[in-house]
Amino acid sequence: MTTKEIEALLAKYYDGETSLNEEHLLKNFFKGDSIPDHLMAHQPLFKFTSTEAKTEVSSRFDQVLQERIGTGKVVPMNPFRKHMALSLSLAASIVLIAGLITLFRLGVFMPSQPYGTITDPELAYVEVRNALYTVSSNLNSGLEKMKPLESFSVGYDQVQNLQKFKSGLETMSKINQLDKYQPFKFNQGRKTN
Amino acid sequence: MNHQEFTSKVIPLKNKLFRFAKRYLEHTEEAEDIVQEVFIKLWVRREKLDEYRSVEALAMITTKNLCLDKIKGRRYPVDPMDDHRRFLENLPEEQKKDYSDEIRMVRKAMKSLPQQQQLIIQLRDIEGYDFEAIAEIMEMNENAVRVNLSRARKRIRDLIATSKSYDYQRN
Repeated sequence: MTTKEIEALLAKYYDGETSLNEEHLLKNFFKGDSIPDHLMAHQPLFKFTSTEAKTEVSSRFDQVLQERIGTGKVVPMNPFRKHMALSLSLAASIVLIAGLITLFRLGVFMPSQPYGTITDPELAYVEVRNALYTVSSNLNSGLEKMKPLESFSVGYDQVQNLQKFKSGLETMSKINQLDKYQPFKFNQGRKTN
Repeated sequence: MNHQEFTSKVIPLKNKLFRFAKRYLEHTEEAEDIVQEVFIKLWVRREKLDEYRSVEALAMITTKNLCLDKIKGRRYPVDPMDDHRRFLENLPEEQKKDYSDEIRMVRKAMKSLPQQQQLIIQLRDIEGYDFEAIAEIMEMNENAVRVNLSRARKRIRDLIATSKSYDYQRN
């Protein structure tokens, strides 16, 4: 093919007007070695499209597909990446729960000495009543100790009388007017020696 | 469609579907998962597949819809560069020369295009579909496909030209 023909085909190509056959011609031309310098700039695109057409699925694709079609199961081909987060959190929660169960079974959370237990209901009633009596009598003795606090309020009433000071202070404030006058000098007219 | 027909007609589409899904998702493993799901869906409906005019178009459209669902359900964005790096590392030696700086440049230009244009380039220049099929898969009219294809090709050409002149100036 002449350079002129190639140039014409290229112009058609960039306008989206070439047929598949013509595009095939161009691809083959740019695969060759006899490319004029001024057309070299177009080579990468044709090289790229030829190279990209060689990309293929990985080698285990067919095997996985056959297994899936055979069993009718829908399993992802690369399940690990997809479900990694899910399986990691599942594993973590299983470990957590198993750990807690083991700890409970070992009795870590139980008191080291069991409390006394009473099976006879009547005895239990008496025991509970005794316990409550002890609590309430202690409470009452506590309250009695608080009695002297009442004298506080008597003291407080007396402190209230201090308010009378205030009116006294107001009367005293008249003394301030004295400041307006010259201070009285005791030494006036007396000779110092 | 029986098992044998399914194996000989539908499963060979796997690489096309995979590349299409990968263009959408920019993630190799996710793209493979999607293609698996597409095949399972088609397998379940295998009795009815003969009623369709083109099983291939059906498979591509199913891939597209599953990809859109996948993207919608994403809680965090994927890093396409990370995926590309892993892809290069796993590439056999004899293919590594195909991924030169030039091609990386085109790939970068491609990624900067609107998604629809990327997919049209994918379907036309990489997979070699005719305009009718592309229009059906992308649910557009043929004229819009042509216009977008032209825009995408020109945009890639211009981006390569600017990055080349930049390299030239730098040297």
